[in-house]
Amino acid sequence: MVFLEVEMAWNVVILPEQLDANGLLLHKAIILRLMDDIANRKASKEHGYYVAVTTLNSIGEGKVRELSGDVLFPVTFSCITQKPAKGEILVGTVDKILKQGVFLKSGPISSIFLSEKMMRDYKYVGGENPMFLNDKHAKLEKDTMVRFKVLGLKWLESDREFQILATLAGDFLGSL
Amino acid sequence: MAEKGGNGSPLPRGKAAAALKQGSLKGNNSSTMEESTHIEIDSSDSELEGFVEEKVPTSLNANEKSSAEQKSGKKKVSFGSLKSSGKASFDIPTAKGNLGKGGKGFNVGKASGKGNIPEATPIKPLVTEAELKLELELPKGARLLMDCEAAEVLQEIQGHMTVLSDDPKIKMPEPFSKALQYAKINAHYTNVQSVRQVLETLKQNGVTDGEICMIGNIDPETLDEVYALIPSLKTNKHKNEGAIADVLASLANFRTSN
Repeated sequence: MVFLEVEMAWNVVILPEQLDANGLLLHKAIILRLMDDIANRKASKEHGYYVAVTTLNSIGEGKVRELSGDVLFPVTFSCITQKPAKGEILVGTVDKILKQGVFLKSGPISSIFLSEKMMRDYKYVGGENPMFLNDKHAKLEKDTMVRFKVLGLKWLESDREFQILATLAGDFLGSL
Repeated sequence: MAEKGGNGSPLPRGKAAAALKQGSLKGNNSSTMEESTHIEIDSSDSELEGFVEEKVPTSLNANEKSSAEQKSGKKKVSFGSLKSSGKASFDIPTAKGNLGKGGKGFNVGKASGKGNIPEATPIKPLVTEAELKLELELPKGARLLMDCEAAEVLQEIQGHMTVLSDDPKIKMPEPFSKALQYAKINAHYTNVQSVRQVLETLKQNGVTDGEICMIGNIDPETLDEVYALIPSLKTNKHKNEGAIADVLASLANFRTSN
C-alpha cells in the first residue's frame, strides 16, 4: 500500500453562525470542517484511504447559498492517503485462520484473503491453534507477519473500503 | 487430429473466455503468435482459434483471421482441433470431416474459444502470479511517498495531536492510527532524505517512481530479492542491474538496527 501525498480540491460548507469577522477564526472553522469531511469520507476508490490532512493550500471566495445561508468555500489542500495497488508487495499480520486460507490485516485494510491455493507449499494443520506450515517449518499462525503480493483488489462502495486477494507465489514471500 | 478433436467434445465450453488467450497462444505455434489477439467468435471464419482478441469487434477479427488462416492454415487448425475440439464437435457435427481444411476452421474458431479454456485455466494463474506486474494508478496531483517518508510526516502530525486532542472538534480520519502503525513497522531507514536521494539516482536507469517506491518499502537485501519481488525491473535488467546493486549497498548504511 503506497502512501500518496495528494493535492485535492474540495468545497467546505460553513454555517452562518461560524462566520466570524476575525479571519483566523473563520480559517479555523474551515480547517475543522475540512478535517471533519475527510474523516467522514474515510476512503475513495481514486485516492485510497484518507490518512491525514497536511496543509491547506488556498481558500477561494465564499459563495452564499441562498436557502440556508451557509457559505461555501472552495479550498485546495494536501493530504496523505494510502492506496493499495495490484502487484505490489505488502506486509500484513495474520488475523484469522481457516482451512481454506487465512485472513490478513495490513494498515487500514482489514479484509485481505490469502487462499490456501495461493500459498504454494504451506499446508493446513488443524487443532487448537490452527496454522499453516511449510516444508521449511515456516509457520503462519495468528499474528504472524507475512509478506505477500497483491493479486487483485476490489473497491466496495457501500463499505467504503478495499478488499484484497493475496498470493505467496514468488520467491521472498511468506512469513517474516 | 480430427479424432482427438472429436473426443475433446465433452470438454466444458463455458469457462472464462479470458483464460483462452494463454492456452491458445501457447498452443499455437508461430502462426498464432503473429497476431497476439484472439477471439471467440462463433460465426466467422475458421481458424480464429489462435487469435486472442477480446476487444476487437468481430468483423475486424474475421478479416484478420481469414488472412491469417490462409497463411498459417493447417497447422493451427490441427492444434485448435485438439484443444478446442469440444465445441467444434459439439456445435457442428461436420467438424471432423472438415479437418484438413480451412473449412474446419469454422468450428475451430469457436471451439478454440471455449474449448481451450478448461485446459488453459490452471496454467494461467501460475504464470501471471509470478509475473504479476505493479499496476499503480496515481490520481491527479498525487506524489508517491515511501513508507519511511510517510512515517516521518505522520509521526510529526501525531506529535501535534497530543496537544490538539484536547479540542473535541478536531477529528482525525479513522485510518490514521493504523496507517501510522503500518508506516512505523515498515520504515526501515533512519535518514529518509538520503534514502530518497540514493533511490532517485535509479531514475536515470529507467526505473519508474513506482518501482523506486517499492524498493524503498520492501527493504531488499539482495539483487535477487529485488528482481523476484518487482518483476517489472527484469525487462531492463542489463541497464539497471549495476545501479540497483550500488543502491542496495548504500541503503544498507541507513538501515535501522531493528
